[in-house]
Amino acid sequence: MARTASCPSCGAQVAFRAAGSVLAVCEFCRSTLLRKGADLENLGKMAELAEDTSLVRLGTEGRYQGVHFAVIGRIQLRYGQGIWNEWHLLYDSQRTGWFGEGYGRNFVTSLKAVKEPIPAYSELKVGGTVKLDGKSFTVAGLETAKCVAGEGELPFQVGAGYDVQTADLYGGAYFATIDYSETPPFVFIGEQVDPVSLKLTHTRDPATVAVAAEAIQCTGCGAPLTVHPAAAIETIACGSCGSVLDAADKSYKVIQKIQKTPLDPKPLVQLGSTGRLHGADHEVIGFMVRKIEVEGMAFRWSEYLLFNPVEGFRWLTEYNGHWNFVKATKHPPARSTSWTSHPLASYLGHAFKHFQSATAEVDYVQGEFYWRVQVGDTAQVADYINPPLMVSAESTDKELVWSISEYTEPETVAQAFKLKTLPPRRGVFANQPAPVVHGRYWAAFALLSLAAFVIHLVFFFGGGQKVYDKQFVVQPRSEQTLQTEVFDVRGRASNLLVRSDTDLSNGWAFFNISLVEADKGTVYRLGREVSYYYGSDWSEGSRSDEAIFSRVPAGRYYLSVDAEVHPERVNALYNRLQVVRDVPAWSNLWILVGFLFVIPLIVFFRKSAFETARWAESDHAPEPAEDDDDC
Amino acid sequence: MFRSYIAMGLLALGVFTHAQYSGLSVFATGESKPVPGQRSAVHK
Repeated sequence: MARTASCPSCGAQVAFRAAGSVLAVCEFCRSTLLRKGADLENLGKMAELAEDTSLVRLGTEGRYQGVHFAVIGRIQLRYGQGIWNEWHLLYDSQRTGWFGEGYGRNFVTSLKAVKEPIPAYSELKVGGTVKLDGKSFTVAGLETAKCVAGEGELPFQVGAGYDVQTADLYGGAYFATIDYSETPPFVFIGEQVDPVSLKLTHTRDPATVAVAAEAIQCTGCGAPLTVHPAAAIETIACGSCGSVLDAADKSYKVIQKIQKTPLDPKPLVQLGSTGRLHGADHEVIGFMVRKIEVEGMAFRWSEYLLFNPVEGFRWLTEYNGHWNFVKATKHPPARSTSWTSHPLASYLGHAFKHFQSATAEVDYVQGEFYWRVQVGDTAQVADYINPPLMVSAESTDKELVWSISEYTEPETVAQAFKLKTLPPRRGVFANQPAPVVHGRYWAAFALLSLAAFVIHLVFFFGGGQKVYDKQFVVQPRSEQTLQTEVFDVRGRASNLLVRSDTDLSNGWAFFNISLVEADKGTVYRLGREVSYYYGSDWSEGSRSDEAIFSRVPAGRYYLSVDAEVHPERVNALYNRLQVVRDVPAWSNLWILVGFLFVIPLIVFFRKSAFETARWAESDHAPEPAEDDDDC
Repeated sequence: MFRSYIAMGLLALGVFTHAQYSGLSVFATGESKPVPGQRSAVHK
């Protein structure tokens, strides 16, 4: 049940719907009213809120974890990265919570009483771990925020300029903030959310949210500049004179002066241009060049800051003609190592392999940025790839930020921003997708080979009828002609296999075999030599032989065999002749499989060459083989 | 290119099936030579 009181300044009714609310800002005269029992003390006028593009307002409603809530208050804070809103929520259960939003990220948290001791702010380090509420959290950011203003009902006293040291932490899917403005510090624990999942209603009309750019003059040279107030811009870099201006307090004082030269990089996508990517229109508002140094060589790449009033900030990066569309991750990936000791990062169920770590330095800036950026700023960057995606960690002594990049074809960028040409691609980029997906070639090879094997087995088990089987005796030191009885060969035209099994021993025999069609006289001829030699621990040749007659039609046949045995043999030679009908050739199967194998093998070598080129640019490039010096 | 590989593979599978059905073999060793009028001495 809401409690109401009259504003001591203007008399308007001020409601306190949450039992824990101690401060309210009169919506009519903006007096800051502190509740003291039944009375309200006027602390003076609350400062004006900074303009932003949030669609949330007092009275917005939504659902979180199935429970309805209403927005009853707001604190607006300014961090190093820009403006952040903390919306005070009142659930139907009379519990309160917070919805934090800023620079494209959104969190729902609530105040938690934790049993673990809270470390002092000075003891925290970015990347360090803290145990809260039984969970392990990693410190992702350390900031001193300044309160800009408040509105509605709040559970504690705030005012403009009120400083608060905060620590942001991630623990798997959980998010936590430690607020050191009180003793003991406040701990808020919750999770990152997609605002769509909150089913917000009674929001601001997107059409009325001020996103129009304003024209200002550079305080360094008077050149016209553009600023988007609703994007909470902190820094503007003038492309004409190299001045970096402070946009936070609208004084636009010069905080850095960059030496301009004719060799300064020129953006490929002009500032102020708008392009449609991933279903939304993004305006290019900032351009930056960063570099890393590897073995004394500088490698530079471009970054374009994109702004959309609903989606927030995104990035387009470009290096050697390769483009990536970049946004902040929903939560920090988990780092681990593979069984081969390769560092990994896991995100959304996918494993990303470490590609490169380096110190990135800002080399050039032009346009608007939502944080206080200067040439010379450095950050430790680590990239992990799972083409076409890449997750990157950027850390300073104050924060650790993760982003996810998706490789974007140059044609897509050119089409989005209506560019005629873009520089051609050079080399292979870290997360560039391979031109061929060789896995599906191997899958197709396996399926086709399996089908061939099944077909072969059908013929194998369906054929192989023995049509003749008899043993002959060949006398030594004589040439003999053996003649079989007539046997029937039935069915379709197929092959006939003639198998000879002898008892040769260190000798040879030669058979001239004629397959004669008894009725028409058609003759099929072949000559076969069988030899077999052996010693105590070796052998050569075989006592048996097989030969195939192809496409033998049905009919009545007999065999006529002229046999000759090596002259040294003194005993009779036994030869068992078998004739088998319709024997599928295994050689046909192996020839087919070999033929099908060629294309996947070529694709595999192409992919391997591509991957070798990719990883040659990484921290994990294979060591080159040492050349032997020829003296 | 992948579709071409599938088409080529299916064609090769068809040729293989025909070869197995007809009893053809690359390594068949017998040659046919019609010799009219030859009969087994047994069956004269």
